[in-house]
Amino acid sequence: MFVKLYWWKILCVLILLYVFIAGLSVPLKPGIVGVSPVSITSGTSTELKVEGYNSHFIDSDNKRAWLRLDENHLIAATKIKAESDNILTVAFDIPTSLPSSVTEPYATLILDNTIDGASILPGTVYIKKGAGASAGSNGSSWTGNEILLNKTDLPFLFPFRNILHETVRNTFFHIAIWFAMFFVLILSLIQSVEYLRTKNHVCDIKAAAYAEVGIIFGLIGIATGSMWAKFTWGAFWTSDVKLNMSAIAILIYVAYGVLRGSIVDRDSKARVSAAYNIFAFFAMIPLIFIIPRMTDSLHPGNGGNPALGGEDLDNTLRMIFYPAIIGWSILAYWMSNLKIRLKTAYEKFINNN
Amino acid sequence: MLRNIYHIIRHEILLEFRQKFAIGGILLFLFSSVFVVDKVFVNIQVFTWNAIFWILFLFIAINSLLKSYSMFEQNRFMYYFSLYNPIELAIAKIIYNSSLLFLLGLLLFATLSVLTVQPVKAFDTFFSGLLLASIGIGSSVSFISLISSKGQNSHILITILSMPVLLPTLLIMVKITAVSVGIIEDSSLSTDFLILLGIDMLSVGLSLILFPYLWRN
Repeated sequence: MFVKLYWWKILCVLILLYVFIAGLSVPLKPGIVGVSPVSITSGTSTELKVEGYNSHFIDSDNKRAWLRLDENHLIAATKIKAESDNILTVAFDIPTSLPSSVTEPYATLILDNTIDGASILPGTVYIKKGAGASAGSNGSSWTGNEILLNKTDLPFLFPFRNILHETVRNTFFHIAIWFAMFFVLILSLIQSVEYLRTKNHVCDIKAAAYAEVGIIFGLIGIATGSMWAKFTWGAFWTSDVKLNMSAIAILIYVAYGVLRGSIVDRDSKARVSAAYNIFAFFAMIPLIFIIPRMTDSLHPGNGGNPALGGEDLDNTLRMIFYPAIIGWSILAYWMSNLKIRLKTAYEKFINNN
Repeated sequence: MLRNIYHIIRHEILLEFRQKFAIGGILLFLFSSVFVVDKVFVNIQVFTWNAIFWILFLFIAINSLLKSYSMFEQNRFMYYFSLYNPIELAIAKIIYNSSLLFLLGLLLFATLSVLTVQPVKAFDTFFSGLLLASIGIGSSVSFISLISSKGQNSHILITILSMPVLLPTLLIMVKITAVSVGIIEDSSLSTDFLILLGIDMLSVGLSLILFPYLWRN
């Protein structure tokens, strides 16, 4: 009986436990955090100190490294020495001349070994033109051979993304919580439409409760996004258009609460706030989804940045991300349910006295 | 239906001129704020001109439309209710408010240009943008002012409630104006107009759909 009635609450708790435990404890794939120096001179032998992340430089065999300028130009490392599991010294003999087809000589560092597989640090090492570099050379000392990477058998790991690093886990919180917010706001919209159709007072209570929970989830979404922004962009809040529009979207729903508070008459309050709720929801769509897309925005999914597609959301993330959306949505529904019961009880209490 | 709409609009215009204080107050507001801008910004830059124009336009819009439903309170309400159906009234209100806003925008442009500078080069871009913005703001604010007239503190409410529509419209218009005065070059101008048109259709459509529900009391 208990399980039959409350199965969705149990499901919610289980999913969220899974999201928290798996989402926070699954390690990242090996990657490269940094390299020094970032600027080297052509025509010299240079040692690069590479800092790895979750990597196994000492235990692994067949360690190789390349500096790659573009598809046809790369050089292999001449000497590789592992100082610890996370520190690797790589020596390169940079050819005297750079290929003329490369205008911006930012080289990509590629590492490969038997345990970690390939890891890449794109476009970081700048190659200055050293003495004796002739301008129009074809850069023949750069080879264009295909790299044959080691086949590795990695366990279930989250992808390592440059800049993001461990914060990639925020996908399960920031993004999933905003999905849940939209879920309850849509429920609120449906209840408002239902109120205008049926004039059933329960619908009004439900619409208000869903909107309130939507505000809470929106604020949590902004807070988690803010932490993400601090790590990736360097500031908790920027004047990015997506951020401002999201803040306004939250304000719209706060205004909905203000509107409800300002009308005393019950029926009038229900009708007016239902109409505003419908209006606000549809007005919010261009605010969040259209305007940030047409202007420059740093936020993923806007201004040409990729978001939930391509290589950013790989299958390991998906296995947590989709349950996370469901889990947070059920939680939001559950919270609104409690609010609805409280409000209904309160109304009953008021009416009886 | 068209006859009724025409009648309501005529009635509104007649009332506007009979109660001269309302439109007179707005005109006074317009002229005095332009005068203040002229005195404060001795040498106004084009970029500032753009911002000032749209901020003044925003305040004029809110001020002019605040009164839109204040006269609706008791007797007028019953009078309209018995004569027309709400859709007709909504359409008439939207047409009236939007054209009033457009005319006020033109007046604001004229006075601001005479007193300060006239930076607009692409007139067609600017005025078609102004027209679309007037329709969007006019329709949404007349709807919002009906909502806020039901609550207390309607003057505060109207500024909060109208934000979701006013803000994107103003942001796009600032961009369109910036293109029309030649500060920035933009190839996505047609997208901006399309979005503006979308916002207009959204606010007009939502106002028409929701108006009948709000209107009955």
